[in-house]
Amino acid sequence: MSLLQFFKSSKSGGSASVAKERLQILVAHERLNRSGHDFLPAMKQDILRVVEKYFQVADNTISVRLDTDGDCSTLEVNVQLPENS
Amino acid sequence: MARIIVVTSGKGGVGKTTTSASFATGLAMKGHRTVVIDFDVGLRNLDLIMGCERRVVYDLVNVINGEAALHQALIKDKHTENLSVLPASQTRDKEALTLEGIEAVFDELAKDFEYIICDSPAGIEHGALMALYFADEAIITTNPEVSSVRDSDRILGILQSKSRRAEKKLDPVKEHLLLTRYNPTRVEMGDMLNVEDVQEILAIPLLAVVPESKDVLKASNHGIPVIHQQTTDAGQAYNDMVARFLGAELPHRFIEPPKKGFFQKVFRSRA
Ligand SMILES: Nc1ncnc2c1ncn2[C@@H]1O[C@H](COP(=O)(O)OP(=O)(O)O)[C@@H](O)[C@H]1O
Ligand SMILES: [Mg+2]
Repeated sequence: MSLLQFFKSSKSGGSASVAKERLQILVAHERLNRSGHDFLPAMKQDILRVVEKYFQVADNTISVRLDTDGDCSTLEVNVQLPENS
Repeated sequence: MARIIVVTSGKGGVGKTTTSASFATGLAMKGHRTVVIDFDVGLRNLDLIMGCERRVVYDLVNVINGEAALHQALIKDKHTENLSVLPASQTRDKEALTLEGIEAVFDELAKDFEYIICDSPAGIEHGALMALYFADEAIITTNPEVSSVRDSDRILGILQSKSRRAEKKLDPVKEHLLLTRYNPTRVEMGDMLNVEDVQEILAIPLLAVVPESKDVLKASNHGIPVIHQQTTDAGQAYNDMVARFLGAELPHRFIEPPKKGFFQKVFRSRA
């Protein structure tokens, strides 16, 4: 689409519909991140409690990360075990 | 019990102060004892919009610091009975507001007022948090424009996680959408988000639509909240907002472009 067409486009393909689409994606993404930040610390404690049943681990040897990319989210849990376990 | 209502947005320049002034005035005109508080520490403006800037002696921070009594800082509005203004401080110390201090002021205000309206500063930092923390209800002031809608959504997230009601696991803050600076003509041309778009994205109930209007600037120039100008669109829109807030069921207005006169139509089609 040429720049000229871009600014001339009206009603059906107006810039408002582009704005709406971009906002819907962005807002959904940001909401997911927000909720992620809310429950992560609690989830980390829960995971730690389970791991502790079998290994001697310290609080700071576990890291939990939630990444969101488009409509795909990955949860990364990293537990560092003591050497002689 | 006094109701605490924050007028907030995240983004600056969307019409929070304009709205706070007219909303508080409207509640008072309906007979409700109302106080409107400027939380914009360092950037005091509500006093100008309310037309009481020359009567400011003490401010919110003075009261919190115990340098003045609350009644010394409160300014009784000259145009409207039942209405008082509590100005912001011009101090550069943004941390001058504390939750303990604000809570003490609110407790004292609650003895005399039914509605406590908090005009929030822009941003999502300390000042905005202080303004919204104790809120029972929030007026999410939004312009039909991408960055404003996004910031409104972020403020909604903060209300739902960092407010007193969220932290104490009480009933959530009641959220209202106020769509302002709305230009129905541009919406019709398809280059401005429409009411339904914004409502769909933010997913909160619509309280009112305030059209973009030259009368708002004129009202600010005079220091008389635009709701006093009942011949203007913006004044009527704020009047509807207040009535709906108090429970009236009114159809939404000012979402259609003004009907064009014959000459305007001819002129437009030739232009
Ligand atoms: N409905 C409206 N129509 C036209 N101008 C408006 C309207 N509402 C607010 N304004 C103007 O927008 C500017 C910012 O308004 P203000 O209420 O100070 O916003 P905020 O407190 O959110 O920063 C002011 O110049 C004000 O006159
Ligand atoms: Mg303001």
